[in-house]
Amino acid sequence: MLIITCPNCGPRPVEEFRFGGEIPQPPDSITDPFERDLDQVWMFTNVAGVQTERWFHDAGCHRWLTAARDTSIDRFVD
Amino acid sequence: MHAPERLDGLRVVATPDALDHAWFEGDVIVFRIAHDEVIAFGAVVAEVPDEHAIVERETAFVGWGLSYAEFDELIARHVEWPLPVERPALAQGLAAGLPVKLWFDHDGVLLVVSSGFAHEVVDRFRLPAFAETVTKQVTRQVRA
Repeated sequence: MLIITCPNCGPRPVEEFRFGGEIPQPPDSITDPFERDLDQVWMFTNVAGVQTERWFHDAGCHRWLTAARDTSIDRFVD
Repeated sequence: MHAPERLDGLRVVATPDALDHAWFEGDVIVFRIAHDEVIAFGAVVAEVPDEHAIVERETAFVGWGLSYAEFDELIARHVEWPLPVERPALAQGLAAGLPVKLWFDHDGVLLVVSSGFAHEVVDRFRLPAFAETVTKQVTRQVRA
């Protein structure tokens, strides 16, 4: 079972959460602020490894949290 | 075990420090559902030391009072996450696929759900349904 640790509620099964997408980091080569915003919203890296994601605790505290997940093994990491 | 009660109170959103020092009039049970939000069941007046605090009446929940024996028999096996050991304590999450809030007191457990899930709770946990008189009162109010 995939477990997410909610800062308010503690460890909970992933079924209690709604996926909010990854938080991509625009590459340094993009310097224009508008282009960086555009890249962050629309361009996803979808890495095979650790990526930072947003999750919403739908069945609990109704708060967003940020978590790091290793997509290659589908496990959350500290 | 009793039929569910409608739980009225206040929902307050404020800074965490203000909620730590908030005062609620009456015999209340305060659910700290997040660092910046509480639901105070039974409260009608709240004093919150935060000028930007949001205080709204909350009428969307129903609750069942259970003994620990009843909780162990009917509810605990549906909970797939660790339950708190300290008392009193609030726990919230899925139980039998329903979003529930559990208030663990020294005397027993209060199972709280959004009223829209009340009938699902009755079906899935085999808990008592609303008393017929209450149902009729609500029906009468809706028709009026």
